[in-house]
Amino acid sequence: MKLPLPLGVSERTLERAIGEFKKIVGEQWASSTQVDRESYNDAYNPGDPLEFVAGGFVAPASVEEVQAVVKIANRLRVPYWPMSTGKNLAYGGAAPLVPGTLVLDLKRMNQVLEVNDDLAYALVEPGVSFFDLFRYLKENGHKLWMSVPGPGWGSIIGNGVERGIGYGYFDDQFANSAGMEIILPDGEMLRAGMGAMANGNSGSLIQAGFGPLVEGLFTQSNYGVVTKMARYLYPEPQTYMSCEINCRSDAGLEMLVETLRPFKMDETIRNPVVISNLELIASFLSVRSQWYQGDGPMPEDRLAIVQEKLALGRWNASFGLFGNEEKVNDSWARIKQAVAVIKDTELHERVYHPGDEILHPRDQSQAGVPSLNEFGLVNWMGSGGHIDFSPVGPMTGKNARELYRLIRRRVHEYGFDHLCGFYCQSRAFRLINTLVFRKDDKSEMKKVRELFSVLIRESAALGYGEYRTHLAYMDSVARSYDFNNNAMLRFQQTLKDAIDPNGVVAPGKSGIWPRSYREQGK
Amino acid sequence: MTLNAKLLLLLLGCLVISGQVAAENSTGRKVFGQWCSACHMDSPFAPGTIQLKQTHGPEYAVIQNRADLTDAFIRLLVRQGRAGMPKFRRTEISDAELDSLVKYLVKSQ
Repeated sequence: MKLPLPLGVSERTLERAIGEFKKIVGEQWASSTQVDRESYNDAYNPGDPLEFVAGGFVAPASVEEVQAVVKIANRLRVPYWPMSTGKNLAYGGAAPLVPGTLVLDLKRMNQVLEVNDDLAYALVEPGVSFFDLFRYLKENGHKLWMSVPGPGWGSIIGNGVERGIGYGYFDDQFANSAGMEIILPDGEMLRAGMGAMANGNSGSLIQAGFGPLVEGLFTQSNYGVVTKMARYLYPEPQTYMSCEINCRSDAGLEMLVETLRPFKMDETIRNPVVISNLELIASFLSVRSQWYQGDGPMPEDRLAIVQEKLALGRWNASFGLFGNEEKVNDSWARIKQAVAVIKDTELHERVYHPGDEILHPRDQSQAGVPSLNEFGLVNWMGSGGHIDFSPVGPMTGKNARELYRLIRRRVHEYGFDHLCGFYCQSRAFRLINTLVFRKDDKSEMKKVRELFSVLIRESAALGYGEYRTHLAYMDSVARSYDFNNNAMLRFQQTLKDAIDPNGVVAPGKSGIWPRSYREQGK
Repeated sequence: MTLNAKLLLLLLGCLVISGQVAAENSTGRKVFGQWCSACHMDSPFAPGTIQLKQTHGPEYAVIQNRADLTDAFIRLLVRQGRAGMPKFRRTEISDAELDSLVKYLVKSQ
């Protein structure tokens, strides 16, 4: 099959770039063989696995090698797609948006550069995963907890620059980071915030220094390559209580949101309250065929059986309480009193102290113990395809119900089970809807693609925008941010032209296209 | 060379080989721990174990306990993925680490 190529790039130029990269990173760490190209495919793409195929890869092992590589790419005008560990699963994984784009694979940059016990942070390179940092903290006796997302094999930096959420004390991964080091498209190194002082001593501690905040420009963007970042850690608490409120009735959603919001607002609950529906939790623990082998969404009577057998609620709220015993017990007592008004609920709490072994999956996540327990959802339908639809909404019961109703109806109409969870912050939630499909079933994948477009359009019509999306929908979601004729996107494109005039960094990321592509109608 | 000297050499040779095997198994175990165990450990919450139990039966659920895994099969799964399991690239599991992983899993029968 002929290799697809990015706009304006010939096969000869691509091979020349690979040849020059090899001199920088070593023979084995740059390649455009078919096997290597396809190793960056999105494993869960709802469609042809080659839809977003890379043109090759280059994997530098140091910042200096990154600088040398991007200078070559800029000179030859060969585009590249930076990735940290490539586990941005359900959103495109490691794959580039434009077929034939080279992947700049940063996995080999896997050093934990510093852990500070007093100021509780870790400075890491992009290839450091949550598993890696967890092991490092344990092996070196640091009594510090990370905030981990569902799957622990993702990159600390990657999850941060994609603005992901962790289950731990510090929920928003980007908001709780600092010390960003960036390599610009021309190879120049920039350190943001307090790190912009040559002899600065607070670079890893807070975002921003003097003047406009720069760090955010390098999240979900295509303006440069992030090569270092510090992440805040949480000193191991005296007491950690993992709390669950399982509501047996679907009608309890609004009350859960309304009752728990004040505790988020006054920071009684500091980590995200996650309100998962029955199907989502069931997918972590079982496979669909155990319960139902028919087509279409699982019928109500089967859901009732799942609920009874797995002892779950239709809605399952979980969160942690951290601090000293007195504070934790007081917090839980107040929360229990408040939720007592919600009908048909079951409350559970599990308490841990330093040295206790934490085995329950959710309790692990909230305590910064990375795992892949939630990855079980890929097994739900048997062959592993999934894609996440992730809109944001106001943290009110009314909004939660409105968005949930809209999405559930459409998901069911298209014949899928509706697996979802509200990730609640103080004022807003992110409703993560995991659309699970059989990746060996073309008609099912076609339906998912259509469904996803419908969900973007109909959610946007009600004011709900996605915070993050799969490669295939970056343009659609960017267009849905449509105030004043997409003024924000036009501004982002102005920045793109100024920072990356040759358009080499991740063309099309977040709907931001280089000028050359826009002139061709993108 | 005397018989005793020959036996001594043979013994030393065996020790070197067994040392190499132990080192490979140790690396293989480390690779397994780093990349595989989160999904494939013996746990009711491990996704790979749950899946294999459902599709192949309980005796095939925990891959470290299996006697039917072959060199070629492990390499194929790691590099190509299967069902819900994604593939692993050379920058994640190097060719040398994959060799050790194969030896660890096949020899643990």
